[in-house]
Amino acid sequence: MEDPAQWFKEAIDSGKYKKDIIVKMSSCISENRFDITNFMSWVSEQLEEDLDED
Amino acid sequence: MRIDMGEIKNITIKGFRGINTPPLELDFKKDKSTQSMMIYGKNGSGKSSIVDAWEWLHLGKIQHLAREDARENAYQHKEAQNNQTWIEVDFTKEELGKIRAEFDPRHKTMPKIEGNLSAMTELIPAPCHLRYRDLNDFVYETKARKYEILASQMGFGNAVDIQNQIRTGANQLNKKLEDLQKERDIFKEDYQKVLRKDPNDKEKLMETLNTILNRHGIATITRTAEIKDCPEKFREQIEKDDKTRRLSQWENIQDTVNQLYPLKDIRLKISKFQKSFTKFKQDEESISKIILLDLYEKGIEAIDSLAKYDTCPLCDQPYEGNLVEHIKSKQSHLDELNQRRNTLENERGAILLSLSNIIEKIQKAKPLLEEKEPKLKLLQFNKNLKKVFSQLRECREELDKNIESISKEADFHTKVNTTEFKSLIGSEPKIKGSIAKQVEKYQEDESKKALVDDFQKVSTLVESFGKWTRVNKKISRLEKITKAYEKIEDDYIKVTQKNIQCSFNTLSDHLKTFFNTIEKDTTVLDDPKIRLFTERDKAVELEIMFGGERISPAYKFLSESQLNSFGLSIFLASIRHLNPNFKFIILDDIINSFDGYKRPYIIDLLSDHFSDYQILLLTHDLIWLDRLQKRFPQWIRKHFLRWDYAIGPIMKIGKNSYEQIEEFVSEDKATEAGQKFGIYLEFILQELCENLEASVKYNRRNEYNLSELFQAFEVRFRKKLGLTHPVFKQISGFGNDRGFRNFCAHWKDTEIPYTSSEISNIVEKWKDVESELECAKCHRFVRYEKSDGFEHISCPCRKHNLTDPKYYK
Repeated sequence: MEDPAQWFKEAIDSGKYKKDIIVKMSSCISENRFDITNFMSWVSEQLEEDLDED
Repeated sequence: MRIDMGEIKNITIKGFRGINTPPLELDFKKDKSTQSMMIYGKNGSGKSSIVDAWEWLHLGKIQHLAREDARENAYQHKEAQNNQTWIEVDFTKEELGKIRAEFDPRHKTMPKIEGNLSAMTELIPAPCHLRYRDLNDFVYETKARKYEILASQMGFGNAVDIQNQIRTGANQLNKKLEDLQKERDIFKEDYQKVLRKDPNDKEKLMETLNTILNRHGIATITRTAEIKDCPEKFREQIEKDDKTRRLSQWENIQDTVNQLYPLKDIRLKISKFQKSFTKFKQDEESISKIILLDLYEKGIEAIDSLAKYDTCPLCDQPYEGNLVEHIKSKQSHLDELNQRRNTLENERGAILLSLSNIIEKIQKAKPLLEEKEPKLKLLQFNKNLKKVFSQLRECREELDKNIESISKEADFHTKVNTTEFKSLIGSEPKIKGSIAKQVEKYQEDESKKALVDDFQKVSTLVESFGKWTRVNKKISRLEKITKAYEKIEDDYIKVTQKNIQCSFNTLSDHLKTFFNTIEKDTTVLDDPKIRLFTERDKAVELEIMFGGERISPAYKFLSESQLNSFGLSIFLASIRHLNPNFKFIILDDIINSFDGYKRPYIIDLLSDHFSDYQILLLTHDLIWLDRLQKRFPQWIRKHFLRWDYAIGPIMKIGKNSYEQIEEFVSEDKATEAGQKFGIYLEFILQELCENLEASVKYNRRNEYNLSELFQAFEVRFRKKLGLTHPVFKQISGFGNDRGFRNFCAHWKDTEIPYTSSEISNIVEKWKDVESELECAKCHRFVRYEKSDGFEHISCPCRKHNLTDPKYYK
């Protein structure tokens, strides 16, 4: 069975996916879990960033 | 890189379960190599202690004993010399070498380990031992438990967990999107209360704003960026006229007060909580021990596993009397206290929620009500509001800790039961009426009323438009993130599922082969499968084709013996698939789970698919042992004669039927020799008749004596190979032997004696016949087979073919 962290590493290199998302997802993968809380806080930051700029 | 185990040279066990001293040594070495081993012993002769010791070495505990609540103190033999209880396994590979687990009476759950045990356990992801009792456990486990067993055995647990967490992430993203869309709808609704158009239509918004601005002689706007400035323009206009400003302020105050009320009166709830809390805190000394509840539980377990106890394992103090009862009574008091604590915690949570709700309302209202002039009319109301705000915050601060951390002197009730809070709750109609009068007073001038109304319209429009625009931006960003995330999720899941399915297919291929070998006579069954569910409710279910229909779960239609075939096939397939570098299996009396006619097929399975494995096979079935010996003549044979309390199993070299007959003859025990040979010959003739498809005279008892079996065999042999075949001549000669004919008639009757030399003579003649019927390569008897229009009487490997023309020259 392929190591999940390895799959994400290869997915970043493949260039197939939106870079900031795959990099963040990859950083949330540890040996046996995907840290959803960490990922969702990052999403919230992305939504708020420079919101008032036109 | 992983090493492989090589072979096992020795397993030695001392002082463990039914094995005491001298150590039981299982020596797998034979003629400068290592071999498999079969051990025969009646029930209770100590065989299962070997499997228990192996499981203890491999897993550190013995599951079936744990299930029956027998803990580590049950591992040691009651008379273990010098407290010595250990198992040692010696491997041919130096990397593993000797591995030993020794029981430590001071730390019963942690044996002392010598050697590279971790390297060994790494090579055995799937347990390599199987007992009769364990065999159908897997089959009858719940589907979720089956999943757990297979996931950990096959190493895909983590990947599936991550897959499901990524799915949860996708659900959370979609939920967030949904919440934002709802929020956007609320702002749109607020917007459309004033203007029945889509907030996206900026031109229409500007047109409307300009119409209103124009109505009051305020300069219009030309760019969308100016939209947000419109309320301020109106405010400036209002500020110019004192009455208009007051009307605007009072209308604002009216809105604020309408949002403040109703206020929840929580005084009674807090008073009740205060009483329970004070009573609970009186038992402070015991409360501090609630955290020890787990320790009490463990303490009782620990005492159970101690052979002797006169000192409390929790406080290390000497104790006379029943220590378990003493600890249980303390535990019971703490349990009751813990329940009261949990009830209080729930009440505390509910009060905190109510308090926060009131504080939040006051916090919003307070600054809006602190306007300059109306303040005079609302002076007392504002004072109360301010005081209540600080009282409730103090109360909340005190309550915002767990029960244990709150001081026993804490007084919540006094903080809430104040004249200010009482007055705030009771003054709702009075304050609302007073504000309404002020609003009415200033509304008398129509033009001022129109200006204030338009100001509110513009404020609502601009505010809801601003909020709608922000949320809309967030939605657009979140949609992009979600789309990209879902693409990654889809691809990851596809790869994970493919990998898992691939592992599963490999296992399933073995499973199918093994199951079909054991159940080859049950043509109605086919294609056993392990079905995997990797969604949120992860599960594994066993399925099978039964009469052309797929049955899931398989136990709906299968007999117990068929389910055991399924269980054994899964066990062996897991070992084949998961332990490629640890080719060792222990099978303890598993044959008892199967119907007699299936037992030879298990030998076929071991012979055809596990010839590269070292097997330790334990059985109390003599007939099966004979078959095994025939098929695996190179295996080491041991015989547990009996079990002795002080020693354990009394072992000698195992003998096959011929060797036992020989022993009886040498001791001049003719009757015993004859009975042994009679049982053996009946068993062999039954197999030969079956192999040759011989017609045996039917009887309702379904019992056949030697004469009937031999006659059927002889007739069939003659019919298929002819009178002139040399082996037939030998068979016929044996059948006509007077000694054999007498033996057939009298061997079950111990009153009619025969001599040891008569028995020996018959046995030797039969041995000659038997050697002509058995293949020297595959160790199987010849059988009748018709293929391509030709009839064959040959062994399964075709090396030994009695239809070969050489026999007719």
